[in-house]
Amino acid sequence: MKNTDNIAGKDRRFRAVAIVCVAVCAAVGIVALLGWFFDVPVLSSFGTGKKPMGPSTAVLLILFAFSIFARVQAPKNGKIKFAAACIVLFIAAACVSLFIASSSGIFLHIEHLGLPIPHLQDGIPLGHMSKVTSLGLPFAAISYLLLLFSSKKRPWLADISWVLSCAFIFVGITLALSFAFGTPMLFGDILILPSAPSTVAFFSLGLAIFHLALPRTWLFRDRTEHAYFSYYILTLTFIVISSAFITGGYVYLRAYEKHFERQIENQLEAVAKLKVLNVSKWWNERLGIATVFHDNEIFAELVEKYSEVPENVQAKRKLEQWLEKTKGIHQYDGLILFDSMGGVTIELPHKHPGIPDKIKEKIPEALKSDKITRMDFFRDTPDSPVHLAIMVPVFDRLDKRPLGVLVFIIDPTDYLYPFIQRWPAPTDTAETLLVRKDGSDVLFLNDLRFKENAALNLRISLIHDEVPAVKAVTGVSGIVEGIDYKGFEVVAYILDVPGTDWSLVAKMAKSELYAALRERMFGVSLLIVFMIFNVGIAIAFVWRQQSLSFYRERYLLTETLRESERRLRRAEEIGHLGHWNYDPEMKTVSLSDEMISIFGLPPGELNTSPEKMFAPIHPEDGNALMKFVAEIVSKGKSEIQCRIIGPGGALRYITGIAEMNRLYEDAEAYTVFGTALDTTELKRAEIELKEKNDELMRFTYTVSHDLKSPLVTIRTFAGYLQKDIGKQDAERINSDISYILNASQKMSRLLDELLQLSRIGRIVNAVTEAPFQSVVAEAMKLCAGEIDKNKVEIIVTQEPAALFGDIRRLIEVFQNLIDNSIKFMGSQPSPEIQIGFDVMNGNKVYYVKDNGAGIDNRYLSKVFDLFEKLDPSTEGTGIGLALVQRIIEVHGGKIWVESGGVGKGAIFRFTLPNAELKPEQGVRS
Amino acid sequence: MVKGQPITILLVEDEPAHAEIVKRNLADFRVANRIVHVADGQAALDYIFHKGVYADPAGSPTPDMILLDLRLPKVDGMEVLKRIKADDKLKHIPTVVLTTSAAETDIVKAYGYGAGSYLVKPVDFEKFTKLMDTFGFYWLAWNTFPQ
Repeated sequence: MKNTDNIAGKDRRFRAVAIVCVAVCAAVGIVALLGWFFDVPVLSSFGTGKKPMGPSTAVLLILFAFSIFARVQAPKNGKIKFAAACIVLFIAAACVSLFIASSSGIFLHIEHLGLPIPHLQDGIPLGHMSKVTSLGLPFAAISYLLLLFSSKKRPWLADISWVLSCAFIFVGITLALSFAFGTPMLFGDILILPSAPSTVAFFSLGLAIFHLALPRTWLFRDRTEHAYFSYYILTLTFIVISSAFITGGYVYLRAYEKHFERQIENQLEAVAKLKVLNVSKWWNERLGIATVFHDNEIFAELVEKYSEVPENVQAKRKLEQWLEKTKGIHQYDGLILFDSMGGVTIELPHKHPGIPDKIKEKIPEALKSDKITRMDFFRDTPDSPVHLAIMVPVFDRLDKRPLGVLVFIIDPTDYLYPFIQRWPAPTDTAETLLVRKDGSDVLFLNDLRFKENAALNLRISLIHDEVPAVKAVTGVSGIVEGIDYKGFEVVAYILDVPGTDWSLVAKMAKSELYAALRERMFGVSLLIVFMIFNVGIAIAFVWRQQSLSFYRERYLLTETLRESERRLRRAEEIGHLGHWNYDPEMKTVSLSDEMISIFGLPPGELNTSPEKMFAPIHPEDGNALMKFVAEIVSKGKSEIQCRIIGPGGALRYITGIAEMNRLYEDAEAYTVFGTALDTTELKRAEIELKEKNDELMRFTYTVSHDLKSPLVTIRTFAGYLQKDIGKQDAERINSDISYILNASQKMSRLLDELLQLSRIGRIVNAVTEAPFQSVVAEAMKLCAGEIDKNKVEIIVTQEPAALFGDIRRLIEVFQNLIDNSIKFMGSQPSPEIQIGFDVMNGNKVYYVKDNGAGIDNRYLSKVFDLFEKLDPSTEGTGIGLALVQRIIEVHGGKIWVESGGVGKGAIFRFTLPNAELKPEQGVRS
Repeated sequence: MVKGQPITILLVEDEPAHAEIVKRNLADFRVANRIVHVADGQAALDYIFHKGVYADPAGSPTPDMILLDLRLPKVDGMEVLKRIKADDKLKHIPTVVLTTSAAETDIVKAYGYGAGSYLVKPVDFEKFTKLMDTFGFYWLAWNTFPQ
């Protein structure tokens, strides 16, 4: 009774927490819905511009919260339990179908509840349940369903429910952290994360189930209230510390991530800047060389000389030498001098693989121009080599007539490409691109690491603005993220090359960039798990200590209880007081062992029905029983004295007391507690006492009467004597004196016999053993005179038997009985006395049987009375049989007489239970 | 004395000495009274109901009054009294209890059964003699018995 109160109390507190959590969950859902209805986005997203909670999510969360609330408010109502289970199942089903739908890219319109909500915002589905939510909610639903159907028979359901709710809380914490500290750690948008309100609702829902399940888990089963609280604190401590570790790890990783990103940016920036610097320097150098030949009078003179007189070998040699030197020093792929007609004058090297057509095409234009013409990266066909070229027109010094064009052919594979492709650190994905805008495309100018022959062949439309190369040619510079030509996610640094229309893109795949970060994250996660594990172990250790003290306490308690129960049982056994408790709800009575033994009910049946308990009560006490039961209900307390028919028909007297216990002050529920005291011994003693009292009264009455009687005679006849002496009436004097003598003699004998009688039982002789036959023989010896005189034949049984006790007294018993029989032999011509014993019901019944005068049946009860003489004419005072009865009683036995009637002899029968056992075994009289 | 009519008294007394006392005292009244003495309760009943040795009504006339001791062999006085008072034909016979017992229970019981008077035998000669004298005067001289 008290125990259940405690559990209810503990439950109540946990339920209160659960209700608060559920209320938070429902409130978040309702606020979100209001936000949608009244178009206040901040209500459904907890922040402008953030992702809002979908109306569908809000409705399902409110439903979930409501089902938990209803169940907690009416824990005993089976219908509500069923309804809650149905709602939760519906929620789970809805979430699973939404998950499947969203996985296949379908976003159901019904989720918007008919509200005008656009389907997409910034490419993210708006107003729909996130995949995490639609996966998480069914988990919560399963957790709650398990809890709903957990019971004392299936406690493991509550255990699983609790573990699930813990996992749910951890997910909630992690999600909340991702909102508190920035973008989630999971790279990429594979998962659409729940909104901030959903996260709060998740967390509170988890917490609610946690609190509902916790009291039913193995952690809290069979705990005392004191332990209960400390275990709750331990559990909470574990969760708080674990959350702290997760938070700490998360914050650290975020910081590390930022730092790492900055490092990467710096690296990319450094690479890009260095390369741009070098590329531009290299290009300027090329141009610078070209400039040397431009407006160079000496060179122009040489060209003029040579062109005028082509046979001028000297001039040609000079030119060739010069150009050869220039080419050698500056590593041009080729130097070609065209004449003013476009013909090749000098070609270095001599066997150039062929002058690219693009150069030939440009010559006339270059001749017309007086400036250096730069030819950007070009190739004749997609498979021909890539070149750059610088065209320097050569003019006549005087008339500015074009003399020819000096073309510097640059092979980028010589220096530029390797330089661009070189990366200062070993890397798998990093590369540098040189790009240029070409119409509505971006054109890749160098060969790529992952694409063969890309230079001037690969172009990407400017529409694809996510590609860093596209960004580069559309005016973006600095650090950018995007997807490269391979479709990889990359981070890039864009820088324009000064003096050209090229842009340089230094990029690296995110996968490589973040590989190190991932490694770190993995390490940190491992560390966190390890630390949580350690905390778990520490908490478990404290828990164990608590448990140990709890079990020790409980053990001691159990021991104390067991001991006190043992004492109660023993006390009940000794006191013959049983107790019982009736539960009207169960209609059962629980009985104590002593109660069972008093009522003679089947042993071990500690619980029975009231009908069975009352069955042994004597039918004549039925009215008393009805009154007893009625009074318990009407007065709250009742008492009964009744008899019980025990097994074998033995009667027991009991006194029963019962009282009604109201379980609660204001409720109808009650139990009845009662005791039953076995008063049989008391009753027996009472009856015995009454008998003894009566006997004593009879005795004193008899004694006073019988002693007074001779006194009256003596006094009266003494008076007569006085008178008669005066009258000198000799005859009368003699008569008077004889009356007086007789009376005084009688009185003296009475007094002697009374003394003798009083000695029995008061003066106890040593208990000895004697054979039955020798006891009888001894008695016969004492009556030898009478036996001889009346010629009585005495037959004694030869069956062996031993008597233990006051043998002298036992001899007196037989002596008096023989004496009595002889006295009442009447006119029997052949007097005979038989002495022996029969065995009846396993007990010896001794007898002394004669064939004398017999006894009138009317007087059978009077023969043992003190000083009772059936025949006043016989000798004696009538104490003999009273004496016999007394001795027999002292030996625990009974005596009675049977007779067929007058003249048919008499048989005195008696038992001597205490005289049949050895003194060690028997009860001493 | 006042009335010369002889009456029959049934004396039920087991103690011969006491019977002698009664007889001696009543003998002082010179009335031709007849005292029938029986020594035990059974004999008294047999006499009154004409049974056994007293079967002949002529030899054992119905007594005019009964003087009854309570402590008697075989059937005690109280039983005898009860039986007499239970019989319609005999219940009118005045029955006086004369006994050594002064026990209150006996007195109450005796009157309850219909005893006419309860006399305790005094342990004093003078008193006993006086009691018997007074008794004789009252019952034998003054008292009128039904015919």
